[in-house]
Amino acid sequence: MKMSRLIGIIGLFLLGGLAVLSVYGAFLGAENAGRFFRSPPLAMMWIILVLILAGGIVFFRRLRTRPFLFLTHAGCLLVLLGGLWGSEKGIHFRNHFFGSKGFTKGLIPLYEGQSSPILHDYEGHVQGQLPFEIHLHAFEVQYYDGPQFIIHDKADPRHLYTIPVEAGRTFFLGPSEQAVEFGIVRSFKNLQIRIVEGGVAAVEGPEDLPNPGHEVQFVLPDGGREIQYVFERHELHSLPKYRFEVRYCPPQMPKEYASQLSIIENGQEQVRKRIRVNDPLFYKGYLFHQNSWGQDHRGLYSVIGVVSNSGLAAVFAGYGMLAIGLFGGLWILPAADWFRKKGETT
Amino acid sequence: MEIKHSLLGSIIYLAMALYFLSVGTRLAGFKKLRHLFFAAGFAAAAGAWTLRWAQTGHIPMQTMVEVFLTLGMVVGPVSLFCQRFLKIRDTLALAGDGLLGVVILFPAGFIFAERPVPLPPALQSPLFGPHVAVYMLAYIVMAKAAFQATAGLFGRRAGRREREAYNLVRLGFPLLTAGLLLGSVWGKLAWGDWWGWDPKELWSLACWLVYAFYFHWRAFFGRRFLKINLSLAVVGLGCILCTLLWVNLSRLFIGLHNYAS
Repeated sequence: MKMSRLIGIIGLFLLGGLAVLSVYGAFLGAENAGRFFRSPPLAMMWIILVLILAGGIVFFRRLRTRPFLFLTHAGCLLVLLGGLWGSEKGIHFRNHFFGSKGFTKGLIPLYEGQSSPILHDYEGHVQGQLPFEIHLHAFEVQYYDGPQFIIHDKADPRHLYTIPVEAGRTFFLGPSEQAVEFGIVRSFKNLQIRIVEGGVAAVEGPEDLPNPGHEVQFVLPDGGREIQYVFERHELHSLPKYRFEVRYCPPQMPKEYASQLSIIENGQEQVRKRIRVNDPLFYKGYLFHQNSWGQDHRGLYSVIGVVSNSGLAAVFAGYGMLAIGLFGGLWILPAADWFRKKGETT
Repeated sequence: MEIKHSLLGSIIYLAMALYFLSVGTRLAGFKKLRHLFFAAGFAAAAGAWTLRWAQTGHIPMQTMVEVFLTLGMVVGPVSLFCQRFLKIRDTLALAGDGLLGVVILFPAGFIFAERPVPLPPALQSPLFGPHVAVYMLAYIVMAKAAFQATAGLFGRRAGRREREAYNLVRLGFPLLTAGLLLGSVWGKLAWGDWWGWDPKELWSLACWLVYAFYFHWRAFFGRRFLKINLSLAVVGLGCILCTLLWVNLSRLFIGLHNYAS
């Protein structure tokens, strides 16, 4: 059999097979699919695909003599090579044989004012160290919506009330003749409850360990009052004798989150940038992006994702070639043909 | 299934009616009237799309209603382009375009909820519009290709239909590729990775590979196996439908695959 014929058949087989495997991978979910496509048999398939693509360019004359066909196939080849080079196995291979210290990706969780070079994996284990430090100056989250109180009336379990957390406003719950008045009495940065003579009282605690909360009040139709304390970061705090249960519900729809970062190398600030989702920082072969954020007893923290750009230049160059090759071959050439024919008939 | 009583809903139903009338008039032989109804259908769809943009404050390509509304609008210019430059303008194709408009607007009008969703941080990117727009164009072109191919598989003049489907796939494939590449670049900027093995990514890749297979198959065997060439164009659309509706379809697999949970 001629070499070109063999390459053609294997190529067709690989394209069809990869399409079927992609559909299979879609059923596995992203994490398992990633593991599947990185597994040794599949890694072998990627390498065979590279060889077949390269073989195609060598043995099919058309793929060399027609510029757009060449760009299309060489572009795909470059994308695959860049992908293999920057893959977990590719980096592991280079670390093993060439003693480099590369890694594919990791996370750096930081509180405001903190610096760290330590990378964690997605389970939180330490997995490496950058040759420089990342410093978080400030982190901010903006929301479309605001925080709310979710109020459950035990006397009328059919209804849940959602009331915006706003100081100085009075809300009326239930039908007008039996309406219950509700409002915030006072908000605290660090709400602490002290036992005093005749009951409990809320006081503002020291500022170093924030524990935001609110003292809220219900005025019942008979004039009776219920005072309750609602913590933002703790579970429901309600006594059985109360008619209402109040929960704090943080805003649900983030609009933007951003971290003001600096890279500190040899004690000097090298770059400073406010990174947002879709607007990362590139530095020395790594990309720093706004991965996520969280909150614990120390307050808000930002999770900076660090991803190696190894192989990225090849991948993006391949994308450019692929795009030029396809638009050129399938759009520009037929269009030129169309206009030529039109010129001949008129 | 729900009927929309809003202004947006009314305009969508109007667009569907006009597209439907374009099918009827063409089949009845009123060629000029068909063009008029089809153009009016496009204008109504474009009107609904513009209204949605004004209502949400961002390009309406986010929720399923918005996606199908965009598709319903894109049918217009794609049909015109194919008539003018690819000479696909016989009764079947033109009636098919109107039908495509009706079928595509149906989910926007009757299935998906209208409630707008604020744009999450990940979608606030200059690549959002171009990425979705090229995919929408590609999907309509590929739907037309599959329509011509189906006509070739089950009707007469398979040879001519095969050529038309091929020309349509040639038109759509660079757009499909552009969508994939723009998505990949966007993924790098937003999530740090240019590829993430996400189910939607894998379905998009599967679509791309099916059409890549189609080109290679046709390059090797030419028009020797017309039925296979035609079938491949239909399989491509099947993959596109899965990609487009995967988020919704995946609910069917809850319990079987951890992805859905």
